[in-house]
Amino acid sequence: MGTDSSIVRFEDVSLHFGDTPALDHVSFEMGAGETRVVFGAAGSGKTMLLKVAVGLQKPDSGRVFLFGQDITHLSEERLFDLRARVGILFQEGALFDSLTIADNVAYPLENQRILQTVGAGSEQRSIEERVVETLRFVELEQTLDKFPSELSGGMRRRVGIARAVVTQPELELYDSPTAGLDPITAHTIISLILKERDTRNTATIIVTHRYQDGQLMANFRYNPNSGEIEAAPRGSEETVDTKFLIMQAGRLVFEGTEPEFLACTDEYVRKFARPGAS
Amino acid sequence: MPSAAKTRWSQLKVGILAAIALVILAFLVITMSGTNPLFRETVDAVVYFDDSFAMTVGATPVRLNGILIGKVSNVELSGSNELNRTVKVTLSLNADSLALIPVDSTAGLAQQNLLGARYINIKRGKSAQTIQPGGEIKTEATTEIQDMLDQGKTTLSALQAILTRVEKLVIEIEDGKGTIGKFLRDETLYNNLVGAADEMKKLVVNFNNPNSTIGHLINDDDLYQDVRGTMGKVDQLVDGLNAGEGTLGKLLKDDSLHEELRGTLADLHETLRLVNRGDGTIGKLMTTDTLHRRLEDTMTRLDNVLDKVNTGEGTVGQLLNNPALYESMDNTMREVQGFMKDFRANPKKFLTIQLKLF
Amino acid sequence: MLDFLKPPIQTFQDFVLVSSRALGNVFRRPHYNSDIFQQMDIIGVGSLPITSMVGWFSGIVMALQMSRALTTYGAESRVGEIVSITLVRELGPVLTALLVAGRNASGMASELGSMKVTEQIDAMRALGTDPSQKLVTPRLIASATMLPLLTIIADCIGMIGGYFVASTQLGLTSSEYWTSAWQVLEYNDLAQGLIKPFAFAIIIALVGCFYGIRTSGGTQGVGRATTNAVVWSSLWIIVINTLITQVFVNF
Repeated sequence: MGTDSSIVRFEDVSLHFGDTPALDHVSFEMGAGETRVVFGAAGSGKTMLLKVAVGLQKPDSGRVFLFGQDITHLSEERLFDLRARVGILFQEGALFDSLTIADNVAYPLENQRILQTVGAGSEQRSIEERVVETLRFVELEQTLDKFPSELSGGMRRRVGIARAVVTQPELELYDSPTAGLDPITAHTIISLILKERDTRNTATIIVTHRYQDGQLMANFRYNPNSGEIEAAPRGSEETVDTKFLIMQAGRLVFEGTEPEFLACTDEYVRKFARPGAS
Repeated sequence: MPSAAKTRWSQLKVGILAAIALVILAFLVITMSGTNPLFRETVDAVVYFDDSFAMTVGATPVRLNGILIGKVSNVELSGSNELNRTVKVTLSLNADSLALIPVDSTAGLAQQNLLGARYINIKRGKSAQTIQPGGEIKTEATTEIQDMLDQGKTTLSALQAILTRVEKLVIEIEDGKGTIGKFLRDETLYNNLVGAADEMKKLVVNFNNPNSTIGHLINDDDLYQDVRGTMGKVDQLVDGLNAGEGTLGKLLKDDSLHEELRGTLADLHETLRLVNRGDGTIGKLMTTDTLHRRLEDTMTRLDNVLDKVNTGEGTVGQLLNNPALYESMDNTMREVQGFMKDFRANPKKFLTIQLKLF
Repeated sequence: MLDFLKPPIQTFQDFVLVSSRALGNVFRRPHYNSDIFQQMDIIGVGSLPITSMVGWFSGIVMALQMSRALTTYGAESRVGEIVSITLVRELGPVLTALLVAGRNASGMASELGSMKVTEQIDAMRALGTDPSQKLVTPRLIASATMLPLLTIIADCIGMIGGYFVASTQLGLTSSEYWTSAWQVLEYNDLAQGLIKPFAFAIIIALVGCFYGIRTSGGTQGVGRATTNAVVWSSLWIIVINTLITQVFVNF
C-alpha cells in the first residue's frame, strides 16, 4: 500500500445507518494525478464514499486518510483547511440558489480569503477575474448575474463544475455529473472533466452509472490544441492511471484497470461493463 | 453573500426601525423616572404601629398630605412590649421631602378610595422643627398615649400635693390638734359621754317609778277608762244602726224600698205574660196564628207552581220539561255545525255568494 | 419500555448541541455581517406590518373588554393603566413573538430545509463554511435584536389603539389616558417587556434553524420541518413566558 503520498486512502472503513451498511469494510488507495471511476447500483454507497473521503460523514469504524492525514476523527475546523484543497461537484450541482452564478462560483474563493488559507494562485489575481475565467472554462460566462433557478440542469452542472475547479484543487470529486442529462450534454460534461484533469493533472474520483463515462475517463484525454478530447493511444505514458471501483451494497467488490474490468466474470460487475447500462 | 447595494438598503431599513423603537423606549424610561424616583436620593424615617396592616414592603406608598414622597422599605417586629409599638415600619422618603415634615406630624394608614390600595399618609404638623433622617414620625395612636402620660403626670403631681396635706392632717390629728384630733385624743368628751350614760340610766329608773309622768302614763288607770268609754259609745252607734234608726239605719232596715222593688218586678212579670198570651202588638206578633197561616199559604202556592213546572205546564214548565224544544235546539246546533264545516270546506261558496250580493 | 422516550430526548440533545454551537459562534470569527443585516431586514422590517397590526388590535380589544368591567366600578379613567400593563407585560411580547414565530421560524425552517435536501449545506461544509456560523448565527442575532424593538413598537401602537377606544367610547381626555398609562409602568414591567422578547427571539431562531438543518426526506421533509418549527417554537414561547412571568412576579 502507498505511503503518505497518497491523496485518498480508506482502511477498512465501515458506516452504518441503523442496520443498513452504507460502507462495508471498504479499503482502497489513490495517488496524485490518478483517476478512479466508481460504479454501483443506486444505494450501493457511492455517494457515501465521496462524503466520507472529505469528512462530511464520519465512519463508524476504520480509518480515512486525506492528503496523508488521518481525518477519521478530525474536527470540522481542521477539516476546512484540507477541504480547501478538494473540489466537489454534488449531485444536481447543489448551487446556492440565493446567490447569483458569479457569487456561487466566487464562493470558495471568498471563503479562502475569509479563512485566510493560501490557495495556489488565489491571491495573484482578483476574484472576479478568476470567476469569469472559470465560467469561460465551462462555457457559461454569460450567466454571471443569473440565478441557479434560471438555468437548466445541465447548465447548473456546469456551474457546479466551475465552482469545483475555481480554486484549482489537487483532488476533484464528481458525484454523478452526467445523471439525467442527454448524451450530448453528458459528453460535454465529461469533456470538461477531462479538460480539468489533464490541464492540471488533478486526481479525480468520478461516481457514475454510465459505462461511457468510465470509458472516456480511462481512454481519452484533452487536447489543448484542438480544444477537444480524443482517444489516448493505449499504453502510452500519457494515459492516466485509471482504476474502476465497483460498489455493491456498501462493499467494494472490484478494483482494477479497464482491461481487468472488462475481463471480470462477476455478474454484477459485468452489468456496468456494457454500454448503455444505467 | 448578498450584494453590497442590497445590504446597504437592508441596513437602512433596519436602522430606521431600531431608531424608532429606541426613541420610544428612551421616552418611556425618561417619563418613568420622572414619576418613579428610582434614582432620587432617599432617606429613611421610622414609624411604629401596633399592626402592619399587611403593608407590602417596597410597594406601599407614603404620602405627605396626599402627595407621593416615598414608599415603605421595611416592615418588622420592633421587639418592644410597649403599647402600639409592636411593628416597626421603615419609610424610604425623597431626601428633599424630609424638610417638609415637622416633628409634630402624624402618620396613619389611609385608602385612596373604596377599592384602592392602602398607603401611609403623613399629616403635616405645625412645628418649626422638621424631622431628621432616621427620625421617628409619630402615629396618631402614639399621640394619645403621650397625652395620657402627660395628663397622668399632672394628675400624679396633684395627687402628691393632696397626699402631702393629708399627711399633715394625720399628724395633727395624732397630735391632738383640731376638732377630730381633740375628738380622738381629748378625754373630756369621753367623760361627758360617760356622764350622759349615767343620766340615761336615771331616766329609765324614773320610767318604772309610778310618780313620774311617764310612770303615770304607764301605770295610771284613768286613761284606760276613758278609752273604754269611747269604745262603749261606738257600740251604741252600731246598735242604733241595727235598730233602723237614722238614715243609714233606715237604709239598712226599712222595708218599703224593698216592697217597691218587689212591685216593679211583678209588673215586669205581668207584661211578659201578656206578651206570651198574645195581647198587644208584640203579643200578637209572638202568638197569633194568622201570619203563620198566611206564610203557609204562600208556601203552598209556590209549591203548586213548582209542581206545575215539573209536570210541564206553563211556559216555564215547557221550557224545562219538553224534550221537543231541546231536540229542536239540538238540530239547530247540528245544522250550524254542518254549516260551519261546509263553510270551512268551501268558504268560496259562501263568500262568493256574498260577493254576488254586492 | 422507555423506548418511546428515546426519540424526543435524542431530538432535545441534538437541539442543545446545535444551539450551543450557534450561540458560541456569535463570538467567533468570521462574522457574516451582511448576512446579519439581511436577516434583520427580513425578520425585523418584514414583520413590522403584522406586529403593528397585532399591537393595534390588541390594544383596542383590551380597552374594549376592560371598559365594561371598569364602568361597573366607575373606574373608566384607569383604562389607560390596564392597557398599558397588559400590553407591556404580556400581550405585546407574547403575541408579537407568536406572530414572528409563525412568520419567521417557518421561513427559517423551510429555507434551511430546502438547502439541506439539495445538498447545499453539505456543499457549504465542503467549501469550508460552517453552516451554523453562516446560516444560524445571523438569524439568531437578527431575531434577538429585532424582536424587542418590534415589541416596543407594537406596545406603543397598542397603547395608541387603547387611547382611540378610550377617547371615542369612554370619553377620556388624552392626558387622563396617557398619564395613567405612563405612570403605572415600573422598571420591573419594562424589564419584563424587554427580556421576554429577547428570550422568545432566541427560541424562535434556534428552533426554526434546528428543524431546518435536520430536514431529511425531500420536499415532504421540508414541509414537516416547517410545521414542527412553528409548532414547537410557539409552544416553547408559551412555556418560557410562564417561567419568566413567575420570576418577575416574585421579584
